[in-house]
Amino acid sequence: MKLGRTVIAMLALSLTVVLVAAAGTQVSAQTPLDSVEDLLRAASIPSTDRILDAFQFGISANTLTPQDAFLVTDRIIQATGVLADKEAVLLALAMTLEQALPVDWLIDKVVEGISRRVALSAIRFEVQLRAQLQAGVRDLLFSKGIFAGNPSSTGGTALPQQRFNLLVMHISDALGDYREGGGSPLDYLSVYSAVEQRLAYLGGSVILLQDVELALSRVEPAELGQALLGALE
Amino acid sequence: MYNDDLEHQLKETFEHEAALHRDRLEGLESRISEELEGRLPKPGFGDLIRDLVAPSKAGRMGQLVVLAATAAVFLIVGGLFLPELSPQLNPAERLAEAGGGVAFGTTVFLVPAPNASEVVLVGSFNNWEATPLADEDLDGIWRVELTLDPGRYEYAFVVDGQWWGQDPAADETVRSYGGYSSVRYIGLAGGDA
Repeated sequence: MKLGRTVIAMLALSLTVVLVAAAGTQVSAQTPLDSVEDLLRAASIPSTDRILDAFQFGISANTLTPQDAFLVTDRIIQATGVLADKEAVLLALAMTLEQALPVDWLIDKVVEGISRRVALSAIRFEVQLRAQLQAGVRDLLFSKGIFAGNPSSTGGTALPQQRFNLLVMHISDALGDYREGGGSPLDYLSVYSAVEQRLAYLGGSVILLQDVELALSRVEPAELGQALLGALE
Repeated sequence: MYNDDLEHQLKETFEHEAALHRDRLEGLESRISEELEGRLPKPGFGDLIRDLVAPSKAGRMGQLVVLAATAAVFLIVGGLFLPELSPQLNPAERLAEAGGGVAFGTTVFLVPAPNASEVVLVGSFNNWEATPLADEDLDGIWRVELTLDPGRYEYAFVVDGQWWGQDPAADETVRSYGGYSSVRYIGLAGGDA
């Protein structure tokens, strides 16, 4: 009788261990974006599905890490501001990801703004403008025969995606900082100088020198000014 | 008495003889030394080497063991670090080889804030979250060292809650959200680019 009780107790203990282990497996099986989805749905963001799809695409394209996805979503949701601004900032990031363009510099801009306790509406303006600017710079490089991907048969210069993205991101960031510093988009030489200086700093360490020379040799000052103007319109 | 007389006579005789040949006895000691030196064997090359190392055989064996151990250490260390010294690549080649580059150095951030009770560093390298600075020697200069990958980093100091983004040690300063951010460019070597 006593032996029977011992066996039952051991079986009960084993069952408990199995259940706890199963629960642990369930938790660890949760994908990184599940946490992001929880945040978005809890905040009732209307475009949750689109944002999640874009984040998933970014992760698969290596333009976004799950950690950054969670970080920026969490900061935006926690920030003081109206729902429309929160959604707009998230959508600006999502649209950038959908175009396979770099998003980490935009995430940094968002996180900086929240850390500085800047109004979410101001962050929304800045991020939307810079995202627009980046698409414009991408188009400008395309028009100059600088592409990402396989070598083109039309005489264009194809760069690996990562190198192309670095160029696009840093030119866009330089233009964004120039504008934020009060520079005029119509002062073409100053616009070009801002970009040239940024690329000179990064050339040879972050961006390959040959890529810097390629961009600066093909892009005209007026074209950079027009790209900035286009984002502001 | 007989012995005393004999001793006296012998002493007088020796003194008389010494007085007669005094001139021949002068310099006798140095002449003997010179002759002996001429008869001693001259040291060879092996003797010179032995004089440089330990005087005894056991001592020389000990010295050989130490030399062998030192050589072994040099060989092992050389084997470990020789690849690091091989062909110097330019930054672009190193970037391409490293697939984006990895930094191995530290970057120092410091700010004078003599009366501050808390100074932190926020920037793109820490998701704009506070990294504390320290003033260990209480000279009013707050300091922190960070290891950063190659790239462009914006940052600001926050001194007792007040943002301060115009670091004189920065490579440049940019306007950001109506304030200022300092910028550091970090190259492949981990220092400022």
